[in-house]
Amino acid sequence: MTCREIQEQLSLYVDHELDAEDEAAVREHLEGCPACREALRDLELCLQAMRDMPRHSAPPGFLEGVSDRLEAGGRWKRRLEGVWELLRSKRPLEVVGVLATAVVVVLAYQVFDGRQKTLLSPPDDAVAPPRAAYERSLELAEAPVAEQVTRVRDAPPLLRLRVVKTVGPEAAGGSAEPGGRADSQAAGDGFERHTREKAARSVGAPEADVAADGLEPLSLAKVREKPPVLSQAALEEKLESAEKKPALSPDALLSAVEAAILGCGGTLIGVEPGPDHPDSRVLSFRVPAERYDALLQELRPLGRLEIQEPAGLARGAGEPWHLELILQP
Amino acid sequence: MGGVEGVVDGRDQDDVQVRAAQRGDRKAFEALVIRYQDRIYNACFRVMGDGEEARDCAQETFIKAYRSLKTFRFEAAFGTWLYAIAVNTCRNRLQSAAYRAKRKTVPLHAPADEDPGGCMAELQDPSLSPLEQLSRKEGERRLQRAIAALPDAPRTLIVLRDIEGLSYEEVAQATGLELGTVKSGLARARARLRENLKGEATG
Repeated sequence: MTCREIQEQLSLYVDHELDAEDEAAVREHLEGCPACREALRDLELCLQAMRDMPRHSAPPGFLEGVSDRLEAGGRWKRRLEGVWELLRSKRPLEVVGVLATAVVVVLAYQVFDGRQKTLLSPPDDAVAPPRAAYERSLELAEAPVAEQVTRVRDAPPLLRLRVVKTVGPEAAGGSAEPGGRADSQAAGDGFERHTREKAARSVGAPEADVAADGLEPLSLAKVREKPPVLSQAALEEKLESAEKKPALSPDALLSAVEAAILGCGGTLIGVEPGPDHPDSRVLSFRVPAERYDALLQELRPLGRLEIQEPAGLARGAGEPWHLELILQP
Repeated sequence: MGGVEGVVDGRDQDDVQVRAAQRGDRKAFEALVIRYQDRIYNACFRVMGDGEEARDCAQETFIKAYRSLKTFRFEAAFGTWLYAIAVNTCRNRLQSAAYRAKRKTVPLHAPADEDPGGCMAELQDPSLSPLEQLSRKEGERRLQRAIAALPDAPRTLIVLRDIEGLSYEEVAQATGLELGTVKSGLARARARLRENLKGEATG
């Protein structure tokens, strides 16, 4: 092997990640090559320096900050659900009361423009940290009541899920292949680009490529009304409870979808801006085939779920599937 | 590696507390936050290069974890799962329009604890190679700058493997990358980091 090839192996060599044959070859080369020994010494010093870096502890009040943000989310959710329940109750007097309150709040909002937070926030919310992503997700809760009502009535966000590729043993030549050989040819920060290109290849592949993988052409179909695990009654209950929930902000929707994917043992490959709307996002990710139905159950409460999948999709195969999810808040 | 042992050794204890938290035991979840807050915060700090951003991302990591606890099915260690959420949270933040606008105006990747002046003067000892000087405590600032100068994805690999001490398999789980991609990506990230350090020392 050349010095260049040896030096490319040094990272795995110091971590004892080479197989015995390659490790012996590197060791033998190092014995006779001062330049590669110098490169190894540089690498070891660099790694030692990183191990010696002081560790930064979470700042004081970290746990309290987490608890406060969880509490704040739960409190507003309960309040919004209360308003929603009332609107659904079809009791005219109370509804008139809510609308009258909304008018008063809107007027107050216009009079005290810029102070709506003071009007609508309880005093103990002052401890919530500013600028936090989770707090941004609560923007709905901080909007005037009339706006809350309008937005709660808005159509829920659209989630368009597409099964791009099921990676079975017969189709494992592409993205499922450990990337060692091909990756080592990319240079420098090509790693990031490579990752994105790889995601684009596997996720954004045209349908002709999918067909080449042995899958039938995709057909857009509305979500089936009866997923295999839930009974009809349980599903209706779940859908009904989903309808009661207020629409999530784009950030909160993205967070919830991410959590659902990770919770089902999935891994995110990338998030890109989506079509048609500035808040729209395209998530590409993998999820174990046997967890696909669990993922659908997690996604359904978050919005209107449309599913695009190959006909005759066989669940339960042990390989991860590539999926693409377009979020349109 | 301390991080690896930390993640793996406490797994049984984690599992007990995660199950309790899944049943709604808030104290059990708080115990998990206390156990992992420093590791997750440190990782976020090294990825984001900024204490305030790190706190936000680390707190959001635990909030996302809490909200999706019921979907955690013990297929990976809880600690690795947290790192996965933290990596995604930091990545989303780094890609957000608000963060990019901020980065244009504020040099976020200057270490928060940087002591201005003096750090470059420490690089003047000609008897030591630039990398030897890193073994000194004061080399941390240069090292943090060199790490911060890496693109987001290689920086994340360096942080998870070389600072947090995760195994290659755990890094693959936390980033969603194939194991082979982690190996080759980490090798290139380390090579680039050494170049950055030499640039720091000679520039």
